[in-house]
Amino acid sequence: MYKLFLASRYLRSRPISLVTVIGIFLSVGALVVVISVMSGFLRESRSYIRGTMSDIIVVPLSKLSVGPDGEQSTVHCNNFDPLDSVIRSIDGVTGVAPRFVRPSLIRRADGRDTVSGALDVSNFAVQAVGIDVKSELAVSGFRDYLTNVENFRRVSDLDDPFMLPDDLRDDEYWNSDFPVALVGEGRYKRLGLEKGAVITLATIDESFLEEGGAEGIKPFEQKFFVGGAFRSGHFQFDGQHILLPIDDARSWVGAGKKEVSEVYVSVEDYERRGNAVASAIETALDRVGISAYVATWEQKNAIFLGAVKNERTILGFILGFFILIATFNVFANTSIMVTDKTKDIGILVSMGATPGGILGIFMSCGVLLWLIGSVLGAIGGYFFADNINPIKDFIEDTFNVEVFDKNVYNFTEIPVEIDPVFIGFTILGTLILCLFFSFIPAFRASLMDPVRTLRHE
Amino acid sequence: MSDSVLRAEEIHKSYTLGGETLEILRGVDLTITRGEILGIVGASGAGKSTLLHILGLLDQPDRGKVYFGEEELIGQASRRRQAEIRNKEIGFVFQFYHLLPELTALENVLLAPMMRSGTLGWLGKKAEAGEKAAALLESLGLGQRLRHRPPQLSGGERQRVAIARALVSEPSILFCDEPTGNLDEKTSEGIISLLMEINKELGQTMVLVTHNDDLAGSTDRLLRLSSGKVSVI
Repeated sequence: MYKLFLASRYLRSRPISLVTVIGIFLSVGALVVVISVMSGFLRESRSYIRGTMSDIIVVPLSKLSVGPDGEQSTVHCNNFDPLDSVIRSIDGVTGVAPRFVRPSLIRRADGRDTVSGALDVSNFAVQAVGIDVKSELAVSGFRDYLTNVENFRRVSDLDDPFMLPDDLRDDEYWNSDFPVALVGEGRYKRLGLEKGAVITLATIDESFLEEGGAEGIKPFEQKFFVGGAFRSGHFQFDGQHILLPIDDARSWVGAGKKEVSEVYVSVEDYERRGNAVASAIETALDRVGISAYVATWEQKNAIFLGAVKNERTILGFILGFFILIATFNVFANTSIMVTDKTKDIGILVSMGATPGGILGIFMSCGVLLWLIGSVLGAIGGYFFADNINPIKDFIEDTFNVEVFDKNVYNFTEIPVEIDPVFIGFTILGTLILCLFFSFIPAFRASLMDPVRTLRHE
Repeated sequence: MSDSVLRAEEIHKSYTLGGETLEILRGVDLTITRGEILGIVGASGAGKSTLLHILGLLDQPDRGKVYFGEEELIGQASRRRQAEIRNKEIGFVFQFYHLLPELTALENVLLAPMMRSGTLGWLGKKAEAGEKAAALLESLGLGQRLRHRPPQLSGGERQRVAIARALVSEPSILFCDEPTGNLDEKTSEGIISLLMEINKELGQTMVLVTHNDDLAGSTDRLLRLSSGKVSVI
């Protein structure tokens, strides 16, 4: 009891202790806020990426085959039927959807592009994705994409999204028989589109990928009616993807009726079984001679997700270093205190204090500095993180500055995920540092000769 | 023997200063009996304070034994046991008061009882101990100074707080190291008469190290420390 009592009095008599407390408070608070925001960012990023992909993606590959006469030929494994039957045979698979993908260039058919003249690839390049609506509903958040947009951009019939009523068709092309495309909201806005407008997509055939193919590049161009917009919530996806009926996408480039570029697969209890099912699919396809790249959505986005995680780790490390510096103040503070209170050590020993008691007094100083600084820091950090958006709004309104640009990440507000376990570990880690840094001078104090300390001037 | 509070046998102590070994105590034998006031005088540097610190278990002799009652404390007892004896059975009054400046007069006095209580034990005893300490300070004329900190007190008042602090645990023996050495003549007289009164009323055993002739003259027994040995005056 007397240890804590004396420690609190010693700290109160030294205003410099406040600097240490503020240092710990700020560093712990900053760590809690930054990690909460980064965790929120990671969660939202995962959620957005997740929303645009299925659990497992299978990309059929071409392989080289050598005939009996030694002649080499390329074998394509992109027929959906064998892929579908092999994948569906795997336990845990709940849905399989074919996709036909072509990198394309996009323009408004009437030439009234809002972006013109600037030959930047981002203005024209899109990924045209042919989908089968019925299958797609089972493997991705496709239906949500359609309902996420405002009414006037929404497709006319949610059950048949590639249907466009005649009365909405562009006057110039009212009697044309173009297929219907759905345009990601970002691109939809950039091109100033509306339902019934006509866009032109251009792509090339796969001969470009073969040896000497560049000489015979064959372009394909096709006009599409715009049936509406979709929003997955993933900024890049919505800016770069055009969804088409898969059969129309195939016929546009003269591809086979069952040809696919990739297959989306949904899995029952993905968190537990995702990796195992992916491996099983790969093995099963290999067994029947189909060459394919099989990856979970996390593996496919490992670089991006890893980068965000890495950023969070680096920021945590840097701010953890600040905590180290702040707690080092405990060492400085306690060391100066031991020097100042040298005579007190002799007095306390004369009154019956043991070396352990002296050690306890000065370590209690470190514990009190920790208790006030880190607990307040954690609480402050928690409330700051929990109210970061109202605080951001207040700063933006008061100082007329933009703190958070919604367009950069397409988040409507700063994402936050507060992890009480992380906060607990931060407080615990700070305690260990404070104990360590206060132990060194406290131990020195406990070894002092009381007779010498009584004579100390 | 049964009446002795503290007994020292063949106490030796030397210091090494600048490569030279100074033998301060050369086989001091001493017995302090219950209720007596023992005075120790001697020239500066004769080793009076060193002897007091050894008797008070603050310092260790190079050789020799110290018995508290029949219990051998130097050489045999653990540091914890020595600390326990210092807390319960020994009181110290120093020349320079040695009060803790962060604490009030009352808190300075309460510190020793607080030390021997755990947190819960102290919470139970706090009120009673506070009343006892306040009564002790009042009896020493400091009733109006309970909440004052040492820097707000005069030299005489500080020494009285130090005496109260030493007496609060009702120790078996009180060691006073030049208790009037830092006080003016008039204040010294007050402190001397206070100590005598405490001895008379409480039967408090005291060992006084002093240069003050009046204080030395008030003791029951006076020893001179010279050349590392004590002799009766």
